[in-house]
Amino acid sequence: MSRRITGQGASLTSALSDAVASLLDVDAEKVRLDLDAPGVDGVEGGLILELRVESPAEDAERAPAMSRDASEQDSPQDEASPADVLAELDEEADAAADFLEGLLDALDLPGDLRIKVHEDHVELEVVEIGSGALIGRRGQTLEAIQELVRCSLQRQFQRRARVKVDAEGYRARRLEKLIEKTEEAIDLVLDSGEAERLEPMDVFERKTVHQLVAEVDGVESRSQGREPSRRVVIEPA
Amino acid sequence: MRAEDVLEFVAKQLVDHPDDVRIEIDEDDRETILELHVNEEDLGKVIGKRGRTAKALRTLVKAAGSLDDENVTVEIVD
Repeated sequence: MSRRITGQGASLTSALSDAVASLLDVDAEKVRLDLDAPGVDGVEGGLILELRVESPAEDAERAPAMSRDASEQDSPQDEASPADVLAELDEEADAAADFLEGLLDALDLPGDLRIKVHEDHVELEVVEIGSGALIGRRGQTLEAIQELVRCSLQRQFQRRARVKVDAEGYRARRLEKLIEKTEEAIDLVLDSGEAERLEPMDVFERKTVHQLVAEVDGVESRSQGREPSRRVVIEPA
Repeated sequence: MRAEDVLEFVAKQLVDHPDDVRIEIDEDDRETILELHVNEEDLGKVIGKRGRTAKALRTLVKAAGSLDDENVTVEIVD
C-alpha cells in the first residue's frame, strides 16, 4: 500500500510543510519545519513536492479517513485494478446515497441526488432542496455533512472514502469565483507591481490560489496571518 | 424535532452498535441540549480524530435545529 502526497508552496520550507501537513492530516499551520542547509533559501517559486509513502496494510487502514481533497486525487490504490476500483467506488456511491437520503428524510427536506462516479472518486450532489439548509454559512454545514458521510463509509468499508458531497452546485460556484478573483488579483499585481492581499480563506482555497499563482510567470504567493483570518498575498516575483 | 432525528440517524451511521445509540433531551427556554449516548466501544468513532467528527456532528445538528428556530447543542456523554 502506498500513498502519494503532494505539497505546494512558494518556498522549499512551505512546500515541505504542506506535504507533511497532508501526510499527518493536520492543518498546514500546525506544522513548523526548520530547514537548515546551504541553498535552502535559494529554492523559490511555486514548488510542488511529491512524497511517496510506503506503509503496511495495517497502517493504511488507520490512514486519515477524511483526507484532504487535494491529496485524495493523488492517492489511487496502487494494487487495485481499474475494475476493482470502480466496484469499490460504486459501493461507496451506494452507501453515501443511502446516507444522504436518510439525512434528507430526518431533516424533512425535499431533494434529489445526482451521482457521478469518476475515475478516482465519487461525487454526490443534492439538488432541488429549495434552500441553503445543507450548505450553511461559508459552506460549513456542507463540510460537516461530507465529513460525516466519509466517517460512516470508512467504518463500513474499512478504507479511506473517496466521496465528495455538494449541494445545489455550491462547490462548483465557489471554485469558479475563486479562480475569477485570483486571476483578477494576478492581473492587478502584474500591472501595478504591487502586492495584493486576498480575503481570508480556508486551507483548501489557499491551496488552489497558490496553485493558480504558481502557473503564472512574474508572480508568487504566500499565506499570511492566523486562522481563521489567514489569507494569501500575491506579490510580484 | 428534526435536530434529534438527524443526530440519531447520523450517530447510528457512525457506530458499530447502532442499537446502543440513545438521545436524552435537556431543554430550557434558551437552548436544547441533546445528550448523545453510545456504546463505550463507539465513543472514539463519534468523537473522531482531534474531535473532528464531534465537531461536524454539532455543526450539522445545529443547522437542523435552526430549521425549527431552535438553539441546539450536542453533548457526547460517556
